[in-house]
Amino acid sequence: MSAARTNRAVNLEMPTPKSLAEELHIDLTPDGTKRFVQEMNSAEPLPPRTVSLLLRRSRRSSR
Amino acid sequence: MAADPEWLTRALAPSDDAAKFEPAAGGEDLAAFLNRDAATYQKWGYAQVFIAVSAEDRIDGYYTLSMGSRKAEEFEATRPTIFPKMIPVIVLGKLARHRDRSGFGEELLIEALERAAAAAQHVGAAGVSLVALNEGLEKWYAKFGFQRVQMNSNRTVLMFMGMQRLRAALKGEEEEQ
Repeated sequence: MSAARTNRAVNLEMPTPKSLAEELHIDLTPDGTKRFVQEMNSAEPLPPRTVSLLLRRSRRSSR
Repeated sequence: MAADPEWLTRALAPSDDAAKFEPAAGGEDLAAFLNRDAATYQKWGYAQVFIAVSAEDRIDGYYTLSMGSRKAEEFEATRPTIFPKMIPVIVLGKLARHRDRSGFGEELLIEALERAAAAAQHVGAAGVSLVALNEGLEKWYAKFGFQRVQMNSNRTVLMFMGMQRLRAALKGEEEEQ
């Protein structure tokens, strides 16, 4: 077992990393809220390539 | 989930040697996260870490998904009738590929979106959000349909893809078959 893995194994204390808080809980500004809700409500199709890749992926998964 | 003969994604396991992951240029922090913090995040439920493993047992890339929320300011212009102050989202926290797998980030992102849509069938989520760390990454995610929501105080960019758009894309597949 490598040193890195040993360290990981003993280092499982509950962390409170700043980056995690930033990732999971970002306060939206009023303007950000507006854009967020616009995107929530959007019925605009995703870009064709994204749709195509999702379809291909989904087909592969269901096989 | 994946049935691809060349690679397979699965949750990170204690037996995986994350120290061997070699990231693409600029991905050193993401490699450090995988080696140092990913198992801890997974243990405490801060993130589910999915690694892509090649037929040669090499870690070709990884991504993380978490439940999160965005605290929204009240406003009247376009909000739905029922609008919680905390909006539930699925957070794409990290995404990185091996330095030799150019273009593989796209595959990982698409799988992450598929997983997010599947998760949202069981737990409410208004969409998928992420924080783009620089302009290049913002452009990359925008190419797939993520929208810029706001620039954060640390100059990173909060991006979001609504679940309706994602579901519609996947629904198109059912209609096509």
